[in-house]
Amino acid sequence: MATDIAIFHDAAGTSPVTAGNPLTAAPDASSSAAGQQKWIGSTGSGIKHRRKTLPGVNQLQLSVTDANDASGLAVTDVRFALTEAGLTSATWGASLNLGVEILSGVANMVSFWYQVKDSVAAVAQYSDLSISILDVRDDPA
Amino acid sequence: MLGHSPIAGAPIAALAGGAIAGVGAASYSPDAAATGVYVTVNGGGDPGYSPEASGAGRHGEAGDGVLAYHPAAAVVGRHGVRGASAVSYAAITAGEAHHTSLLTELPSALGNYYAPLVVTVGQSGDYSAPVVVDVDYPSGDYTAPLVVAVTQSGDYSAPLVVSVLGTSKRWRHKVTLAGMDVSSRVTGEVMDEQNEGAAHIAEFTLKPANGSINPYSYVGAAVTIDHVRIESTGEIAQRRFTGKVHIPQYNPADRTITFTCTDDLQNRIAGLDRDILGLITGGRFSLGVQGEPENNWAYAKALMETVAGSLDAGRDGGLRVTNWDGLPVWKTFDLTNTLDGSIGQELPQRGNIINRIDASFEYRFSRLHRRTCNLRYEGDMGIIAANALPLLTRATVEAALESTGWEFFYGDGFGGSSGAGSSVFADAGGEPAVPQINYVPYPEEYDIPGSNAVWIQNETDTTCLGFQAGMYKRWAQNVTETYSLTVLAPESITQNGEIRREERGSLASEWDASAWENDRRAVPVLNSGDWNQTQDYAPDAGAAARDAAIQTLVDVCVVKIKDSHRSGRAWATTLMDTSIDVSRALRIDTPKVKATGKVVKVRNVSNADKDAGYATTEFHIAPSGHGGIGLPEVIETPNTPPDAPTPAAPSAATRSAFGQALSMHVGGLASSPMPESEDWQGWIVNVQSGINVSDPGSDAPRINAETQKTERELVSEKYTGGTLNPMYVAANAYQNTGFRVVMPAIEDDVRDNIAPAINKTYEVKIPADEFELAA
Repeated sequence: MATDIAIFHDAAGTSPVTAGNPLTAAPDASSSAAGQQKWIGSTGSGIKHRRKTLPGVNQLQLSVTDANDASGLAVTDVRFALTEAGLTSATWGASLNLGVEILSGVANMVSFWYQVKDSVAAVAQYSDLSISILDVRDDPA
Repeated sequence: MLGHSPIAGAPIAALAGGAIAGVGAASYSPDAAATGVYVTVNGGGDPGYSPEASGAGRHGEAGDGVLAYHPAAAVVGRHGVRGASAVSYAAITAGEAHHTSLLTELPSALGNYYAPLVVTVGQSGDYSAPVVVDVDYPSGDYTAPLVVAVTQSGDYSAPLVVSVLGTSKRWRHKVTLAGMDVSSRVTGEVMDEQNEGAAHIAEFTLKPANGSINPYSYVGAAVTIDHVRIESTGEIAQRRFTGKVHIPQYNPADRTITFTCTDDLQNRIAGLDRDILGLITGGRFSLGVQGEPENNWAYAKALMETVAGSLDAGRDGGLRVTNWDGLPVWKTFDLTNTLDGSIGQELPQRGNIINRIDASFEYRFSRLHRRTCNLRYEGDMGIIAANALPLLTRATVEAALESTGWEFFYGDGFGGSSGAGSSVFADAGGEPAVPQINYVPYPEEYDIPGSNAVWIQNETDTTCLGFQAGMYKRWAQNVTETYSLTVLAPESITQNGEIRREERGSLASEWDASAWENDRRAVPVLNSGDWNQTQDYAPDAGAAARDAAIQTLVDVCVVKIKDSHRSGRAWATTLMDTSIDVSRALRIDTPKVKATGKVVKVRNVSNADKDAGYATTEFHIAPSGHGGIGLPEVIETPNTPPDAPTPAAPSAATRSAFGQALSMHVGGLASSPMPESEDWQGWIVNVQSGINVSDPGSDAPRINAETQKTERELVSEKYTGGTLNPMYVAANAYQNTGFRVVMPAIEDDVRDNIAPAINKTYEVKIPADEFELAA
C-alpha cells in the first residue's frame, strides 16, 4: 500500500492535490511566480508518517521529481521554504526537511511554501515536474 | 495445545549412527547404554504437544518439536506418531519402510496414529522402528496475544503544472459538467464571480443534446471552467472555477439550460469541525458576545468577525483566510492593460465609517467567602460558688451559638486538633460534619474561698463552666464586573470626527451558590486555615472564559472599525487574467486614479459566440484609509483584558473583632457594673434575690447539771425554704440575662451585590492604502 501522506491546498485538508486539481504556477520569463502555501499531512487518525529508512531519525523531505530530464523544466526551477519569507533565501532545487515525523490529523499538518521559476523561457504548459515526499512509511501512532 | 508444523509432506528417514534426512531436521544417535537406538524426529516447529509414554514397550517423548523413540522397548505392532510430523495411519504397516508420499496428511481427530520411521542402520538393511505415541491432549482454552501492526510505505508525488504564458490573444473556454467536456455546446456568456468572504459562483448556458432532460441529474454535478490560452506551442488551460451545479434552469423558448453554480463554500464550511474552523480562521468565539450560532457556517462567520480578513476558497478549492492588510501588490494596472473607460472609483462615505465603539461587558459570578472566629468562655468558679449562681447548661450555650447564624465546630484553635483526635478541618467534605464544642464542665466539688463551705454538684455532663468553639460562616456574594471598553481609531476621529457605535457582551455563571451556602459539605472548600478566605467561583464560566470573551469583544470592535474604513472602491477591467483573485492586492495607476488595495471582487466573463468573442476580468479593490495626513502614529493596543479588581483585605478593626473572649457579667450585687450593656457577651446572670435553704437542724450534747446526765441541746431547728439573699441589690440586677453571643457583622462590601467598574481604552491603527484622485 502507498502512503497516506498527501499535499493539500488548504489547512483544513478539504482539497487534496490531484491530477485534476494539481499544484500550479504561472511564472513569466522575467520573474518567478509568487510563492504559494500548501499543507502536508493526512486527514485520518492514528498514523505517524516517517521515513522508511531509519524512521524517526531521518527527515521526511520535500523534493522535486523531474519526469523528463531532457526537456521541460528542471528540478532547479522550484524551491521550498517553511515560511514565505524563507523563500527568498532558499536554494533552487534543494529539498526541504519536514521533520522526522508528521502525525495524521488536520491539526498536525505541516505548512510549506513553494516557488517556481521558468528557466526554459518558452511558452508552454509544463507538467514534467512533481513535488514529492519519497521513502515514506506509515505506522500506527 | 496442538501446534501445526509446516512439515507435513516431508519424509521421515534416518540413518543409524548418522544424520536423519527430511522433516526439516532430524537426528539419530545410538544409545550405548540401551540395547537399541534413539531416533529423534524434529517437527521443524513447535509441535505444541506432549505425548506421554504409555507403558512398557511404548516409549515416545517429545518436546519442543522433537520426538524421541527408544527401540529397545519397542514392540512390533502398529506404531506411529502424531503431531508435528503428521502421517497417514491407513497406509502404514509395521516393519515396512514408508516413503514421503505417505506423510501428507494431518490427523484431524484425537487418537493414536502410526507413522513409519525408516532407519537405515550402518551395516545393511532397513530397520523399521514402530513408534507408538499416545497423544494425550491437555484440555482448556488458549488465547494467544496477537499484535498486528499494519504499516504501509511508498513515495508520494503531487503533480505540478507550470504555465508559461505567451502573448497570444487567442483563447477558448473549456467547460466540464459531471466530468464531460461540454464546451462545444456552451452558448452565450460564461461568467464566474468571486466576492471576498463569499462563495465563488458561476453561470453558463448549454444547448442540451436532443432527448429528454432530467433536471435533477444536473443538481450537484461537478463543474469546472477553464480559460484556455491558445499559444503557438499548444493550449494552456487556466482554472477559472471549480464547483457544483446549484440551480439548473431550463429555458423552453430557446431550449437551453442555464446553470448557476457555486463552489459550495457554505456547505463545505458547515461540514467542518469547529476545531478545524478555529484552526484555519484563527478567529475567536465567545457565546456571551456572539450568541449561539445556528450551524457551523454561522460559527465560521462569527469567528471571522474577529479577524481583519476574509474567508473563502481559492480556485483550487483550498479554504483560506486572506488578511485585508499587508498583502504585496500582485500586479499594477494602468491605461495600457485595462479596457478603455473601465476604470472607476467610489469614494468612502462618512456614513459607513465607525471610529469609536463603546463596548460594555458584564461578567457575573459568585464570590465565596468564609470567615472563622474563635470563641472562648471561662466562668469564674469563685464568683459562681460564692453567689450560688445557677449552673450554666450546655444547651443554653449551644442555643446561643446557633442563634448567631454561624456554624460552630469542635476546636481549640484554627486548624488544630483537640480532644479525642478530632481535627477541626479533617472532614472530607471540607467542613466538620457534626458541630462540636470543647466544653469544660463544672467541678463536682469546690471549696468556697473564705469559708468552710463546700460547693457541690453532680451535673458534669450537661453543664458548662467554660468552652472553646470555632465558629465559621460562609456566604456567597454576587459580583457583576462591569467593563467599559472603548475602542477607537484616533487618526480617523481627528480626520472625520467621532462616529460612535455600541457593542455589548456578557457572561454569567449559572452556578447555584445558595446550595453551597446551605450545604456544609459543598465544594469548594475554603478551609485552608486563614480566618478570612475568598474565592471567585464560576465553574461554568471562569476567569479564562471571561478574558476570552473580552478579547473577542475587543476584536469584534477592532474589525468593525477597520472594515468601515475600507468602504471606498476602485475598479477596472482587463483582458481575462485568471491570476487575479480575491486573495491578491492590486494597484491601479492612471493619471486620474491611483489606488492600492486588496481585491474584493473579481468577475470573469467570456463569450465565444461568433458574433461576440470577448474574455475579460473586472476587479474591484478596497483601499483602506482614514484620510488624515501627518497625524501622530498610532500604536495599536493589544486586546489584553483589563485587570479585574481584587477584593480588598479586611481592615484591622474587622480582624480584631474576629477572636472574642466571652466573660461573665454578674448583676444584682452592689459591685455589679451599671448600666448594663447590650454589647456584653457571655453569661449575663443575676445573683439570686432569695436563697433556698435546706437546714436539717442540729443539736449538741450537754450534761444536765441537775441530773448529771448527757442530753441533746438544740442548736438549730430543721428548716427548708427560701430566705432573702442579703447580698442581693435589686437596683443592680440586669434585665437581659442569659448567654449572649453576638458575632461580628459582615461588612457591606463583602456581603452585598457589587458591580465593580473597570475601564480600558484600546487604540486601533487604520491601514492607510494609496487612494488618490486627480481632478
